[in-house]
Amino acid sequence: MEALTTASLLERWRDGDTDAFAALIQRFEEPLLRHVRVLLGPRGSCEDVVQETFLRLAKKPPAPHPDANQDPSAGHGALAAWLHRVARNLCTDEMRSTSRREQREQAVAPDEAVSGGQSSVDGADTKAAVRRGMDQLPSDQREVLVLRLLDGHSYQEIAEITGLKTGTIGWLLSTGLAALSQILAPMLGNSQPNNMPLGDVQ
Amino acid sequence: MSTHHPLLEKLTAVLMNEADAATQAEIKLALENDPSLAAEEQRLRATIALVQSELGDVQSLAPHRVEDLLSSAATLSDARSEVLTSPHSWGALMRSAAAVVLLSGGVWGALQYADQGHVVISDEQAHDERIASIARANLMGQLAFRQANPRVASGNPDDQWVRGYQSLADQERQSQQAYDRPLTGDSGMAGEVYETEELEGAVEFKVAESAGPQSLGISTTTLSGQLPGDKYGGRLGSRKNLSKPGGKLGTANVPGGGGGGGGGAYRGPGDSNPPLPGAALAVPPVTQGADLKRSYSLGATKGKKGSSPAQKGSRLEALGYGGGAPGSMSSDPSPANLGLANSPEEMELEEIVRDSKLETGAHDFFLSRDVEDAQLESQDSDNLAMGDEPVRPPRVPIHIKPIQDTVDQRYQDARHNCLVGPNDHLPNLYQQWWGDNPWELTMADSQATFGADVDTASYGAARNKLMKSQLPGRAGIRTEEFVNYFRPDLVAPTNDALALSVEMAPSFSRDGKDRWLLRVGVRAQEIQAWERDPLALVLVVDVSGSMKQHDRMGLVKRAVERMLDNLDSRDTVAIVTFNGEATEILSPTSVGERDAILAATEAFSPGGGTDAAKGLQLGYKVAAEGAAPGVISRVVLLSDGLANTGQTDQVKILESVREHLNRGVHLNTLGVGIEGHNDTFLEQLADGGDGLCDFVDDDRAIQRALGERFAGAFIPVADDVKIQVEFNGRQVVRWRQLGYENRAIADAAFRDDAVDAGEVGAGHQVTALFEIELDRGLVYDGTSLATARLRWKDPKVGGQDNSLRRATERSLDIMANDALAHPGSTSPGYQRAAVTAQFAEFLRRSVHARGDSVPALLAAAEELLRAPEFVQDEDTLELVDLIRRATDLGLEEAQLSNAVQAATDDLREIEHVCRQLDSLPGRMNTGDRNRLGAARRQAQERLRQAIAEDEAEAREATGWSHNGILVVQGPEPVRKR
Repeated sequence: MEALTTASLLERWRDGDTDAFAALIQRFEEPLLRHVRVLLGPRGSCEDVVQETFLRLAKKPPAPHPDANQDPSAGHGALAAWLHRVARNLCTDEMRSTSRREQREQAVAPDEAVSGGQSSVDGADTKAAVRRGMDQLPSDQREVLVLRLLDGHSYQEIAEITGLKTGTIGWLLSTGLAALSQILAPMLGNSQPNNMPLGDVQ
Repeated sequence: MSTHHPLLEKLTAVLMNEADAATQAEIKLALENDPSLAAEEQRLRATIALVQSELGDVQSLAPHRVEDLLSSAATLSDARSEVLTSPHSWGALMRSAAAVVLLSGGVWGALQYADQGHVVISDEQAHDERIASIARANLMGQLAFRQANPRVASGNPDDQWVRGYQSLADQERQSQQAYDRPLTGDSGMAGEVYETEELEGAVEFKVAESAGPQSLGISTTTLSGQLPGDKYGGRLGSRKNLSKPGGKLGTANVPGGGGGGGGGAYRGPGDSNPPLPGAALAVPPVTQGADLKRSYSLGATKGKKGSSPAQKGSRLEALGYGGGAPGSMSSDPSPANLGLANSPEEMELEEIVRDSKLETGAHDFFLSRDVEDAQLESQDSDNLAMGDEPVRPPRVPIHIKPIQDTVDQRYQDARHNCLVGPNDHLPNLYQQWWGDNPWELTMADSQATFGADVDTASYGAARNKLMKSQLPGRAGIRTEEFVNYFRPDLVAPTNDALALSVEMAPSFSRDGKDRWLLRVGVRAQEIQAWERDPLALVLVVDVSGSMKQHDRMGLVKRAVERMLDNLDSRDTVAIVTFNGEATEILSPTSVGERDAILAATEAFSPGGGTDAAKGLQLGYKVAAEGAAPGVISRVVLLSDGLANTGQTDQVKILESVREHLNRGVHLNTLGVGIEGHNDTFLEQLADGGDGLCDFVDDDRAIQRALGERFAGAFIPVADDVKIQVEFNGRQVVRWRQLGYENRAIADAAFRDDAVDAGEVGAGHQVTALFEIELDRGLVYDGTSLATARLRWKDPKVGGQDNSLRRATERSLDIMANDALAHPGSTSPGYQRAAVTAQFAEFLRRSVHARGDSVPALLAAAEELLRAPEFVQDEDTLELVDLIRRATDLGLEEAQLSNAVQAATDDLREIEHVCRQLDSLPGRMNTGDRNRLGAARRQAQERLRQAIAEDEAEAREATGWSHNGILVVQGPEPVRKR
């Protein structure tokens, strides 16, 4: 079942094959969870959202991509975009509570620079530090970074998911990445040149 | 290091494999020649690697969720098609999923499932599962009931919207008239407004927004636009409506016509600052924005000053500001954009908008109270504004959005206000939405803990309104104060300060459910005059100017007289008066010298200000001087209201009250002759001073407050009285408390004697009511349904350390044997409490009273009068009379709401039930999930429909067309050019 293309799995599920549906869950649960987590934060009801997303896929699967037979990646991309869009809409529904926002801010609160410097951070804490670094970014940058770096979506796919223009995505990604590299600077080794202000170069 | 390399974006694109050939070449070249870019590349690569290595961990759904999904899928696929793959090809996962489907019967078949459940799971689990499924069935049943019993009433559009449009239309017409009228006299200030023809080039509109009391962060936003020479037709408003939600006061400003939105201020080039009512951006009624202040500063105007505006008045159509249209107050409240805006600033703005919305849902219970306050305030500010010189407003036509846009927006807002966030605290949300205590699932929360409350003011206020043939406002109704208003019916203890008692019988049948009403009563010891400790009273009497009115001084004198009747020669009375200053007009004097005390009251001569702080300060000083062991020391404040006392003063006064309380001096307050009994500060003071607040406006009220209730008001028997009822989850599926919404105490704080709670005086009775739903009806197996606990401390005593006082706890198990099979077999006091509580719930327009019948309530009330105890009881007679009056005034009709509100409530109820179901152990099955989903969709559709109809009617009623243009009757006034 694993070897089948996404498009054919979708086709089978549309015909009522629950094994195909199970395979689709396996294929997409990870990127969806990651996407949803970045939107809702660690304490959000991420699994609820992803479950609901799959439930929608179960109830009303989208039509297959017209070129799916010729181009398996197009078929995969189309369903991926559909699922991510559904998940994203569900997230926005969830994201309205004040307390949510406050919690997210609290989670962000410990500032790396203040809390003792990252050079002392050992391996076990690296993950947490990177996560906190991500959390300090605006959520739109965070989302684009996760979709690109961790789930490998192209700018075009991200555009389909988020409804943003590819230009905006490029901008968000570069800004977010640069900001993140500064937040995480102490963990990146000494790869940066000695105090050369980048902005001065013209 | 906040600046970025100019090639950063292209570099990122290259790193991401998204760059075209030209960009790749450009970056390649740049990397070779520019070490800083090369360094940046290194850092970005390292960052990417770090993120991918650290965050790329495997994530998967919890197994039970996958099972759940697969079982749903199996059901769906069964239903959808017969083309099923062979069961043999199913993976292990699918087999377990199939097992889940078999095991988990639907909610509807919950009971049957329970009986089979014992086979596979332990008793404990089985029981929890069973209770959970009963709870589920309850919740689903509740929904089904609601859907079968729609509570929509009139087809009238929402008043608020009509008023909003009306006010906009008035504004538009006034603005039009003002514009057409030639300007006489020298009005140079306004003249500058009309300088628009002289404007050249860029005109900058600065929208300065002050957030008012709730300073909300962003203070200034600048919109700039390029307006062509003399046309000014640009639609600035269309960019983004940066209206600032100012909190909960919004509604109040709408009826003010030109004053809408808190008044716009126009700042011309000369920095003159005339009001600009025409452009005052009436904020829509339901939305926020009371403290909205805007100033439009035409920064780049070059024109001459003082040329006649009437001749040159171009239309500042640029200000066709969307903010004037109902429903368009926020930048873009659609949930699809929340948190995902394009820039951090916008996101922040949206969050602010969103947050403020959370507090101010269109139909939030507490809004009504705030609106009343705000209306009072706006009246005040109207009065102030009357002194200002009239300045002619400039002509600023108001455009409102096309109907479809407004409907969309209203719908989005309304839907938003129905959502339950993942971290919303359900009971709080319930309170915010409906002002009521919710049904609590015993599995989730088995304890109700609250402080005793012996206030009765709410009942008196409601009676006042009803006697004037008005239905009282819902916000002022406190169920517990209704129930506690009546004379005690329980037997007073003789060997303990307080006694606990319970009584239970079937509830007024609601929804056809098996519900019971539990009454937990606390009765305080009676203390006879001869056995009480001596009293040292200091009367602090308000003799400010307002006390001259309505015979208030007469009421004070009669109140003092009535007090003296209950005192004797062991007791002393001192009198302090205050207006702008405080004076001790009578030093502590034995009540044996009654004539001397009464003579002092004859000397009251009202006039001057109201400095309650000074009065209380002196009063406390006198009390402290007279403090002695074994003497009950009390300050009694008599005033016609301190509602106008400033916030800072209130805090200071309250602090000093608490401080003196620790030294054993209590404070009682007596509101004298106050219309509507609506002085919350007097109540807060009495709460802070562990005393009683009463309102008197006639001799009967004086008799009641200072005659019958004298001992309760002046002789404390127990302090920090807390009540806790713990329900047994094995018998009680869910429960709710009637009233005491703002007296709740954390369950864990019950035995924390440092936690403050109410004081109870001699002879008082405190009644708490709970409605409960049982699992299998009454089970006589020796286990209790619930346990009631009561804890109190000895009262504070003057002249000694009050920090260590004895605490006493009593408890009582409520068994099935205690329940009476028929409401008719209960005591008359129980029946009256039940009737009174239900009356209060109707008056509160409580969500719990919906679907109940007012005539049935009236019949039950009339039934009360058959009891020999009540046949002559004037309070009970009065209660029945009040219920009759309320019925005649449309109490039943008042339970119904307009279509929008009803649809909103329905949707909220569904969202609420969904969340409650989620919190139960075990899983919701697919059928229920689908049913809920369908119910939610239908409710959403109904809501949209209701809003569309309401909007259309509101517009039609006030002359606005669907396109947002005011349809003016009669000939169009001639415009001067």
